[in-house]
Amino acid sequence: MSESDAHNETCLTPLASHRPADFLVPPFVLPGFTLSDVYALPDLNLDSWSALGRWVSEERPDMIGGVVINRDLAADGCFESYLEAQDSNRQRLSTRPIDHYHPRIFGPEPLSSIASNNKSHGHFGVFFPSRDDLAAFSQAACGLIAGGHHLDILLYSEADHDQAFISTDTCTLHYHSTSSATTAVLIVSSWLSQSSGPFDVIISLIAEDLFTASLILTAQDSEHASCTMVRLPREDLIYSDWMGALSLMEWKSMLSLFRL
Amino acid sequence: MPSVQISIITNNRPHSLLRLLHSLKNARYFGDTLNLRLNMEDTADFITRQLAADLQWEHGTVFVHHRIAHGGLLTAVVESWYPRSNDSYGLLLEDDVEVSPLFYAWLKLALLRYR
Repeated sequence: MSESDAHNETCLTPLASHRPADFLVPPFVLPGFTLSDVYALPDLNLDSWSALGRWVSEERPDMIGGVVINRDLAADGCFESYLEAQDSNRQRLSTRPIDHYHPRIFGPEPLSSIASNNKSHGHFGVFFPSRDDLAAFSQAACGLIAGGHHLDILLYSEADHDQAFISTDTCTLHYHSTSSATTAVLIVSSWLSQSSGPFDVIISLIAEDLFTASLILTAQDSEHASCTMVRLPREDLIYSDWMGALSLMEWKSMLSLFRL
Repeated sequence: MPSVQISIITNNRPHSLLRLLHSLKNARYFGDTLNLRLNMEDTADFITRQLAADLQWEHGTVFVHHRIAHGGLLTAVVESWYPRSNDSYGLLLEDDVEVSPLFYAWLKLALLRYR
């Protein structure tokens, strides 16, 4: 709907091309993040669709309140749908407190816009030196597996041998080990390239060793460049079982939330 | 960038304060950085002031705030922490509490889950 002044409104009908409007009347779609600023909403007097459109336009650099699209869904009569929408007894903004809205409407947008953020199951890389470190982290690792996530584990200080797994009460963790005949960079590159797809999260230690440094540098220049790198102190691994309950989105938020 | 700050409110209970500080030092922080702020009333006793001066905190910075004019409990709480942005989180602790070694795990999980 286009509003030329407070009392004279021109109705825009959908055409083949998109057209800007001062405000929209239902049906329309609204991105969830538009209403995510709950601190601003209680101070606003959003008692009409035109008021909502004005508020939306004020938040945008192009100063438009909506876009009219898709001629296939056009109402038979523009004024008919517009008058219905203006009917105070029918569709209008709710005056209920913010807390009563569906929480997803006011939820924050994902921290990253990459497609993998919408996945529920992630691909995790676990990059530890030894079996002892993996054993200490095993509760969290098993929790991730139980949650449907896929783990690729490399123990870079363990030599190749037949029994490349550890068993716990809840799961069996298979891992890759290394050959001492190759360099750290080659070991890391090989592990990254042989993984079953790009990692969403790589978990390593806060260790100042050549392997961890190689991992950080190599991952940045590979298909894993967009993964989240979570580094943990070795002494905290045995207390990390709660991390097995985190969702993929929460794992990807962990780093940006708590590291300076 | 979201961050968590620990803000301690104390006056003249050095033994309780010492217990709290020990429990904070023994907690697990999973490599995260948390800055610590210690707020003392103007009537803080010598041992409390000494604890503040000797405080070593390896997980972030330490800021000591010592009032020179009496404020009272309400004032002490209100001015102990102020959010810098919507991404600021404060953990306000009176000196008579003691935290679990995994308190930060709970706090981090809660923020990740419900933020």
